Amino acid sequence: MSPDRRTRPELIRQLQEAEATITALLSGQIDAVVDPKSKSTVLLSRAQDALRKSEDRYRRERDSAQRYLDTAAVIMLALDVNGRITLANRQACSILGWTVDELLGRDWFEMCIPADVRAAARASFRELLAGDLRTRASTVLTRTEGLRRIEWRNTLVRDDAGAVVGTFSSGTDVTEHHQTALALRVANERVRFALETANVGIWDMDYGTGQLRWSETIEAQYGLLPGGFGGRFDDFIALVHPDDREGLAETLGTAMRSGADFTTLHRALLPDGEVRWLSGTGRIQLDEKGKPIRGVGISLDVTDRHLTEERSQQAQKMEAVGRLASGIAHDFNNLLTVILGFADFMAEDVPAGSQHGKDLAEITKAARRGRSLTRQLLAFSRQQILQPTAIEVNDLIAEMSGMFEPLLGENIVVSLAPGSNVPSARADRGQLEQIVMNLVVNASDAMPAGGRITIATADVVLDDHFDDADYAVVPGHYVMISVTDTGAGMTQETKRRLFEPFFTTKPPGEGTGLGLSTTYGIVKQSLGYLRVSSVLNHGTTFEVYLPRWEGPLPAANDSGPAVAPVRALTGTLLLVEDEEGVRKLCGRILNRAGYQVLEATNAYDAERLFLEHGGSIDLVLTDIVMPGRGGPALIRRLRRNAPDVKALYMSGYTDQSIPSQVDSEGDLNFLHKPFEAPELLERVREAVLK
Amino acid sequence: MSKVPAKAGLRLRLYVAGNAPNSLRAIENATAICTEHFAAKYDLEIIDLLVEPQRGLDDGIIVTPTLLKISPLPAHRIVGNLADRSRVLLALASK
Repeated sequence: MSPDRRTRPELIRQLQEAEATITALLSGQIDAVVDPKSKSTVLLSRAQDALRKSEDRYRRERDSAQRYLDTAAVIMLALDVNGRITLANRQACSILGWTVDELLGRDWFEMCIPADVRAAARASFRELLAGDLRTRASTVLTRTEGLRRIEWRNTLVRDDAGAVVGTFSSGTDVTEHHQTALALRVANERVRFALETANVGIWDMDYGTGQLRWSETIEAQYGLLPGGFGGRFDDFIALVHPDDREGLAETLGTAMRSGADFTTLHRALLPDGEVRWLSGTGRIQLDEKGKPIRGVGISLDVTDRHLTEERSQQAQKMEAVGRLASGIAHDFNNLLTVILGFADFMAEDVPAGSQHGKDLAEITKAARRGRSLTRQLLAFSRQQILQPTAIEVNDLIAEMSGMFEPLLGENIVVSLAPGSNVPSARADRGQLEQIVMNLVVNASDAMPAGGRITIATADVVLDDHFDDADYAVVPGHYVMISVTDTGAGMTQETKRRLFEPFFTTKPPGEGTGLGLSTTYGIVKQSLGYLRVSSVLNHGTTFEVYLPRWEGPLPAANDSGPAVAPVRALTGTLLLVEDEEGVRKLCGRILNRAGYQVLEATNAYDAERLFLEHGGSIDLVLTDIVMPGRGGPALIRRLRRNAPDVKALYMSGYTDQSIPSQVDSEGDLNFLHKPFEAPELLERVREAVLK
Repeated sequence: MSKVPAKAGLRLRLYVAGNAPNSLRAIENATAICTEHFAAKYDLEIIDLLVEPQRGLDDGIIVTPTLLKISPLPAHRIVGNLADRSRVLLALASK
């Protein structure tokens, strides 16, 4: 028997035993193992205990980790490289609204990212896997279709070999914060919008660094481009109008010492020479030693408001001058009328070449100058009576052009640029002539070294965007006359005060300062507009806009003054005048001319005299303003019984309502005081013959 | 189960580890099987390897509980708590 044969069954048996041992082991029937090395028996229960303990510890750690994950106020989320969820803590479930089991294994992006940002989120995830660990914020979609804003901090999960197998992220729900930030941004935006719209600029000054920061709005207020401000206090002062620097520095200095709020109003001198008014409010913080730390404030462009106020003051000033002028003009004109009249009488008896004759001529000259001044004052104060007619401005300017040459220097060229199809203007011819003359003389004065004056006319339609300094424009057709010079132009200051009475840029003694204010007054009284544009060193353009004549055009006739027939005048006149000097003068002039004159000092006497003389009175010559009943009322009463009675009014200045009163009676016979004998006689003759 | 005729000299050794649960059950089961099937004609030696580990080593025992049939030959080992009586009887009867 070979040993092999004996051992084969033995081997089989041993194998069977080994198998049985393994089976027993697997079925938990084994208690201990004999360890040949240590020659000891080791209870499996101990090993199992150890294992169990190890497992327990692992479980405790795991539970503790899970508890940590679950109690964490943040979302814990792990994804594999494909974006499938491998871990989600309770906070994640709570915010997302899914259970852990519902989340695990699902595609995070399909399940929890809104479709519209899904592609972007996946791209961001790929960046993260590539090692870009920056904090990211994303919007997540909850089970109930809610949206939350989550800010993620991320790390990569690697296997033992260091290969990236997924991501681990903690997420903070910043929805409320995000909304607050959004709301804050909206609020900021709103404030910024409000400030910008209101043209309010903001500045702040750090006294530690000397840095002065300006908003773009302030930069714009000072005519700078965004970012154009230098950033130092001196840069600021350099932009302030030189005349206002001292006052501004003083205000700021006081504020820096006191720490009290301050307000400023100063002019900014823009790089293009424009001047703007800026109003500011600010506050400077001081430290405990009273040293300034920081200043903040706002700046507001109040140019328009300031100019409006200035204009309003200007208008008030002009109104006041006007009232004063009209107040004295009446009496003054009566005096001048009397002086001129009686001087005229005396001149008839005194040889012109004698000393008395020369003196009389001086008296007459002075009185005429006085009369001219009074008229200008009244024109400016819009108190004089205008007699508007239809005027062909092209014809008028053509006629006038002959008058310019002697007035203007040799080196001044006047060119006319009449517009075509210019309609008739509605204006007082004499006054319009004065306007054109004033503007031409003014233009000439602006060009001491010579130049060109262009007078143009045009038919213009004004809409309510027309920029008139003082008045809202009534839209419609206007006749425009412009006078342009190539002179020195005007400074802002001159432009602002241009129409102010007695304002003049000419040396004392030259010019009354009434030319342009008269022009202004006439244009305004004619319901027209006046616009000035001027570029320093390039010239000035005055544009006069007059209303179009709307009525039927009068038949063309010779507008030249009728030549008075040289013959004795006859007729009976009723002269009504409260001012004794004027009454006596008129009586004497008219008497000498051949009229029968009945004199009355008031409307009541006049009415009595009229009745006494029945139908023998050819003309009533009456003052408009008298104590008691005025001229127009007198004429109305007389016409009740004698509808055909003729009337000629004498008038100084008076109230603007009077022309319309008289106008309503259907005639407009006026004699402006002061007048001289020939004028009186001509007007009376016209009126009697009418 | 029918009674197996007692054979002279049935000698068994049961290796156990203290009073570990499977060891106690193996002692219980071995005693019951012997009493039941071999009447008094058996010799069952119980060896606690926690006390005498060397004896286990000597007999080539790897785990407890193990029942070793010494005689009659051939020797045979049964590993486990001996709860499967048919398997135990088959092993004891094997030749």
